[in-house]
Amino acid sequence: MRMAIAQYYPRASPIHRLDPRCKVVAVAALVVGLFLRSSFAALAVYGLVAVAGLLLSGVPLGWVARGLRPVVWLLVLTFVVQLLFAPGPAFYTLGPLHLSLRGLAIAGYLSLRLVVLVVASLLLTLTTPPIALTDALAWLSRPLRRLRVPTEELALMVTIALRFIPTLMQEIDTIMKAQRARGASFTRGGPLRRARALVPVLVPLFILSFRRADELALAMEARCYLPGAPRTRLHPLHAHRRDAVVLVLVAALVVLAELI
Amino acid sequence: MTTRLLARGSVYAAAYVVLTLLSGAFGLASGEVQFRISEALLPFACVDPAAVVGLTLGTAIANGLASPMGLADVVAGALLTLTAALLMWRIGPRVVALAAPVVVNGLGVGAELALILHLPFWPSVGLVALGEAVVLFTGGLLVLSLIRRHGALLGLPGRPRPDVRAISRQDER
Repeated sequence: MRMAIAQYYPRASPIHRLDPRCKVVAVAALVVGLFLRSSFAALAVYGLVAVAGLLLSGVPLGWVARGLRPVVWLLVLTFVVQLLFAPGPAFYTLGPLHLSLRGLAIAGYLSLRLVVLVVASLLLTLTTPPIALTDALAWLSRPLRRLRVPTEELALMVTIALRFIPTLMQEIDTIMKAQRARGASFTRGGPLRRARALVPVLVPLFILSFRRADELALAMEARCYLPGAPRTRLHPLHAHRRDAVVLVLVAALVVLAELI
Repeated sequence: MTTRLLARGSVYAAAYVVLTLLSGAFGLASGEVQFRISEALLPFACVDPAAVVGLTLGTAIANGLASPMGLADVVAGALLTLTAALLMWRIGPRVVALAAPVVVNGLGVGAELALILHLPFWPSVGLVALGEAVVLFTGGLLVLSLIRRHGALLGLPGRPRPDVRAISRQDER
């Protein structure tokens, strides 16, 4: 069983080199800005920013298109709903159907906004490895420690989980083969029967995974891991001047978009 | 938080992500009508606090890896799963608990769709809740019965329930 689990596209581009914290803040600012002001002009500014970032990152457009594919369905739905139910003068009437011009404009705006949202989000996940993203989010959520949220431990859990994903996939594969060798079939029958066929896969999977987790906990404690104790990093995050420049630039563009 | 809880939580998170990616491979994982097989893991939250934390993180990771809306979905999805998982922990390993994620995700994702795409609120809630209910009342029910029957095998911590057969055997003696 092989599949790409992360959307990350490795490459050496100016966008890839930015500090992940800077990218997270910039994308969050763009996304919030996108929803604060609804005008085509503001949308155009955000769209240009997203496209410029995309071109700078050198990620092939095919990868972006692949990321957009899941939302096509939603876009179609939005168009249909707005065309049929938005108020305003009709430009086309067919019996009880009442297609309004304003609905068309709203649908166009909403769809474009979603596309810009998706492209901006993809820009982050396509250019930042998941581990770096985790580190950035852990760093940014440090204020939550005051509310006794164990952010360091949560970040470590995410890192371990990312490490476990390929292991679990391999495990599922092995167990399915083992059960097939015993005569199990996972492709025969309707959905219900197929779901039931997964039981002999899931039970061993959980037993194995939990055993592995308990071993991991033991190994960590044997190496003196102490939950809640301050930890050092092999690769500490370093912000550079270019990160500050990008943040100022994004802030300026958001202000511009909110004003025009 | 103990090391053991941390390690188990990580496994729950990884399992959630793997199952989401599997359902994503069939194009079922996000959008208006979503069938996330991974949601069937939620009953673990009824008995295991590690699952509450782990599945919340799993949702965040899965949304970060696979959802087209990235960052926004990471935060929103994690908060929704956390709410549902905490509710299930309160309710305990009962069939009623399966309704918690149906209601929470229905309302939450419905609100997201209404906000971002101005889709009508209640129909969106209905569709999302329907997809969620299908997963939870098939796969989720299965997992719940597995937990009830084989919980000890999985080393699940949780509420000790009186073993009726053992007691009656004692009575016979």
